[in-house]
Amino acid sequence: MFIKDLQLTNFRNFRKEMVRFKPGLTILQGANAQGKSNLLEAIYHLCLGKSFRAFRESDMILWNKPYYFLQGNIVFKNRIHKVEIGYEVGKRRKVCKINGILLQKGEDFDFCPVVFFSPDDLDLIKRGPEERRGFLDREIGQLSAFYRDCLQRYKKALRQKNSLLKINKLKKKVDRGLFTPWNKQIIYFGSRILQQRARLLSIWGQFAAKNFAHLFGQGKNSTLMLEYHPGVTIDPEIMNNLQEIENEMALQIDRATHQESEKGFSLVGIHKDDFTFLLGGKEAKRFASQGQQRSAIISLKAAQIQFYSKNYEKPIFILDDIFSELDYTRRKQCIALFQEAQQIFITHTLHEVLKDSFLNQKAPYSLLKINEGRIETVH
Amino acid sequence: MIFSPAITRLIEALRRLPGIGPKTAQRLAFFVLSMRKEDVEEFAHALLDAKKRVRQCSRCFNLTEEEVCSICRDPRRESTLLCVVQEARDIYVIEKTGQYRGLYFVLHGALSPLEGIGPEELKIPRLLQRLQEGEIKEVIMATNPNVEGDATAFYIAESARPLGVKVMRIGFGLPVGGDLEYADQLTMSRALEARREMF
Ligand SMILES: Nc1ncnc2c1ncn2[C@@H]1O[C@H](COP(=O)(O)OP(=O)(O)OP(=O)(O)O)[C@@H](O)[C@H]1O
Ligand SMILES: [Mg+2]
Ligand SMILES: [Zn+2]
Repeated sequence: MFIKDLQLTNFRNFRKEMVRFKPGLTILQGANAQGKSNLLEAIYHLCLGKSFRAFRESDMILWNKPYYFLQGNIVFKNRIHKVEIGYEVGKRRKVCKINGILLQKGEDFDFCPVVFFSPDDLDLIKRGPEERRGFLDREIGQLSAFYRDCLQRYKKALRQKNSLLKINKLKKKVDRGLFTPWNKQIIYFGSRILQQRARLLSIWGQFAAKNFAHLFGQGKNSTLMLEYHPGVTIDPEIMNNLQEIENEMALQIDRATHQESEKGFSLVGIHKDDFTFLLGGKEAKRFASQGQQRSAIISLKAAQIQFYSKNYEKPIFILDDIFSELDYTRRKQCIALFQEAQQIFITHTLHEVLKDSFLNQKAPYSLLKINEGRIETVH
Repeated sequence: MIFSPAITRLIEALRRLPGIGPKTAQRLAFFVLSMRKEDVEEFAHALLDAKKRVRQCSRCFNLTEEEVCSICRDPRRESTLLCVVQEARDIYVIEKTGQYRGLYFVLHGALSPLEGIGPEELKIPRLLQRLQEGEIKEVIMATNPNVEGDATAFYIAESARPLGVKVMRIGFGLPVGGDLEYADQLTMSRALEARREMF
């Protein structure tokens, strides 16, 4: 998959810009605060129908303008798709069109293989379980509308259940029968989410382990493993059997009844999930060096790219600000992965620093200069 | 901008309507002021009159101007079949299909602890009472296809089980969020499509 061209109107600090892109590597070069990340945001937005950082649609509108509009052509599944996205302040409604057909309210973007890599990902290992769950939900959600739907319903059912638990603890005893309709849905959607998370972590884990070994050479301490820790204990043997997962989940939620009503909130379910990175069998969070942790993350990002390219189509790989964060070795590791993507966008403030890593490759690349919201194609 | 007291009062009244923001309320208020007096009178009268005449049917809680609504009074309708909906307006969605020949029951909402809505806040006790009477043999739950609607359907099914009444969920699977109002052919098939797992 790759993006052919993009037209930005009142998007972030771009007033009216038009850019053409080629497959392969594109470097976005410019000083700080010129609009590099904004352009990446527009590209991501065009492919997935949402931003990776905006809290509100209106945040993306050029200040004091009434609307933003993005339009571009994406080559996906051997076809050119024309995508248009706009948002108007007054109407408070986002309008998306794909090949001229208006998406209905609540209708999702067709799934597009895009892998986004930012400095935030680099400390995924160090951060809390909530961030790691967020990572899973974002990445798996991008693959499956079914997963997004399950997740949304799970969260709603959980909030309703927690609200009952709170009333039960603070106000008045709640009849047990009133918990059942929410628990039923927590189990139904939770088991499906759990199964997807287990499946994807296992697939990514296998690719990531190969990548890590490749980057670091085989050796006892260079085996990387991703280990899933669901908030409900499930024997890996039954991971393929949805019915058994449901039964096990129901059992464990039931067992926690007393404890949950004492605490006044839910204690068991996939909202307690986490996953860990193991290096040579030891938890990377506690024992691995900074550099090893970063290589583990690069291996995981690479795994996502390989997964897309094997199962769907070579993806677009977007790297925001990554190179300034990485040392020479890890930069080279990243670059080694580029061949699996069809189109790569990276940002950098100084062209010079990148020269060694890229020009050595002798691979042709495009260079765009970004300056105060203007985009100039150098080559 | 500062409006006169009467205009402000009108704007505030309009804002109580769902989906009306401050700007729309202003626009509507100024439109009302530009209308002919007779038309405004007719408009105000229509509001009051509807409110005065319309009440809930004592059998099914549909909106009606009589004690019992026309559907409940219709002898040609299948009196052993009951379709449970969240809002009175949902009846019109189903009636439009012309496929359903049974009776209705309006809950006036769905279970939602977050909003303090339990069975007592809905017509659920009245529904169970109705089922106890024994004439109804089958119930179709047509609550909204979202988390709250499903929970409500499930709760009623569980409560009706000891009464020996057959309870079914309306046949559109579990579409993505939203209200029954939007549950047209398109959204249904799309929702089912979304349910196809990708891997
Ligand atoms: N809605 C908006 N309207 C106008 N300008 C905006 C809007 N949102 C962000 N900006 C501005 O856009 C500028 C460029 O932001 P961007 O994040 O793209 O910079 P960058 O080139 O990636 O810089 P860095 O190298 O520091 O990451 C910022 O100065 C920011 O204030
Ligand atoms: Mg930036
Ligand atoms: Zn009636």
